[in-house]
Amino acid sequence: MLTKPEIEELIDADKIVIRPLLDRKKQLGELTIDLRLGTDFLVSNLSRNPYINIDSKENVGKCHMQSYFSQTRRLLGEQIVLYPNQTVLASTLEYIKLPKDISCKLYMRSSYGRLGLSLSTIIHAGYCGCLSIELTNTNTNIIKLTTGTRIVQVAFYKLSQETEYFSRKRKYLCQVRPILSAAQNDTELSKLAELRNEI
Amino acid sequence: MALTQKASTRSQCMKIDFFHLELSLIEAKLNYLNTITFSDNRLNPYLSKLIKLRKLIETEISGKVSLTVDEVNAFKMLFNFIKLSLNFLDGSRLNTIPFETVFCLKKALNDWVDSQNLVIVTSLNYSSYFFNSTLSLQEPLYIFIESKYRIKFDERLILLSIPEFEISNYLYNIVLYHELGHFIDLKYKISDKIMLEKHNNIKTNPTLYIQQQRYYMEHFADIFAAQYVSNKLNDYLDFIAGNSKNSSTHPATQDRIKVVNDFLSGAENEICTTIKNSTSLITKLNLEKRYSEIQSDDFQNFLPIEIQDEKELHGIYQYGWDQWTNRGKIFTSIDSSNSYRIVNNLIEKSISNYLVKSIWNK
Repeated sequence: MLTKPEIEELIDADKIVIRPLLDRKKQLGELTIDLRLGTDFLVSNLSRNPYINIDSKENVGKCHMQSYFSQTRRLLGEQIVLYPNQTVLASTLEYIKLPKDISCKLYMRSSYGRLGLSLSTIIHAGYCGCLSIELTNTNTNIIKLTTGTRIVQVAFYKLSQETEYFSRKRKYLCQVRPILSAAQNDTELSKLAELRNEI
Repeated sequence: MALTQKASTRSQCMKIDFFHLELSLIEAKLNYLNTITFSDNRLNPYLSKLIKLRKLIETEISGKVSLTVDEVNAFKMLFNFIKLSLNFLDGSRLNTIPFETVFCLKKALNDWVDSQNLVIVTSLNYSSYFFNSTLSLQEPLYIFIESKYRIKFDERLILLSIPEFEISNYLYNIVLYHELGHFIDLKYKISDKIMLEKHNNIKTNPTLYIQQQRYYMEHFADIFAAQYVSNKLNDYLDFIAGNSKNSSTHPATQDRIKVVNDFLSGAENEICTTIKNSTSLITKLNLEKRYSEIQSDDFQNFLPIEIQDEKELHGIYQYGWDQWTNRGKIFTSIDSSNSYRIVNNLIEKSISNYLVKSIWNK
């Protein structure tokens, strides 16, 4: 895990790119960098479809993932409401690019974790784009979050060797807004559906 | 005679019924818009005034048993005004407006006018980009409302309509610079004055006169856009109407392209010279290159540009187009569809980062 001087060195050398880094002094901690809540959201809502079906695309039919989420936007500094048990897809205000030998993990800042918001995401070396923040309010109360606030923290890890991010087809490329789950595109789902029919 | 009177009374009642129906429709839309967030705070007082105006009209109509022809026409005009406003307010919700593009357009607008009371609003349609001058330049409408209902609308709305299909397409959105050019032209009456000065001799032929004036309007809007987005609008024009010849409203596309190219290269061109000279004379501002050519391999490295100033802000469109047209060399091993998404996303993020930083540093 990288420490503050190591992270700073990589930022100064443009190996780790973070745009915009509005307040470097405040955002850079001893082991992590705080990132801000972006302004675009996909908010889960009740749909006429009874459940989200993670199956091969052919089997899912008309139940498109989009029908379970609504897109919404806020101005910087405006607030977004999270209802209990509601899932809201957000992204970081910052656009990140990682070098081939550094991966990172995204955590909720403890002040927000204590409200009942949790998160744990791994970001592959070589990733470029805003980071996805999958928010779920596990509190019994409604939580209002302000866009632009430092909500998550990212810890960096040095890999033993370089990896090639583009060596395989990527589902989320240079994303700047939250993107719906593409779980349905996982290739093994078709194979599993075939197996299911054969049993 | 009695039958005629009866028919006339019935017609009056029908008109009043229709106006009540319109009021109900308008009320529903106003109630809805009163709950949402607009992309520009200045639209909130505008909406409040529309609500007040609707109430006053309702009270006025409720007290009538018949309407004169003038009253009918006045109410129709007012309803059209309210409905047009509502259509564009609806399209200017934060969730629907192309926020980053409008931010760039606001900067261009500021170059030419005091934009304190000018709000760029958008609405979605199914097929084309266009500018509507009704709510920005037709002062008699606002004067009438103020004198009759004591409601003063301070804001003027610049109405830009966008094909819904292209709302988030930054490459095509450069057309909006052209549409904004129409506003500037009409605001300063540039084409109007060129016609009076140079083509007064054809005033006896109204059809030809209007056609010629429309040609100047299109050429002006093309040059206006070229100040900010270079010749990229030419490529779009060539794509959608490359073979179009002179029509009653638009000059031949290839003529338009030539005027823009001559403007950018500084080559001798009579139309271009006329428009440039008249614009300088009337506005005390010059039609000139107002973008800078961004030299960067950031997009190639999958990074948004760190825009430094307003010239680079407008230059992002030219840069984005260049990246897209050279995608084969730049984004090797990435298919066209993903290359488009990358370019489009990076244009959006480059603009939005500049916007965020400018707010943050205030």
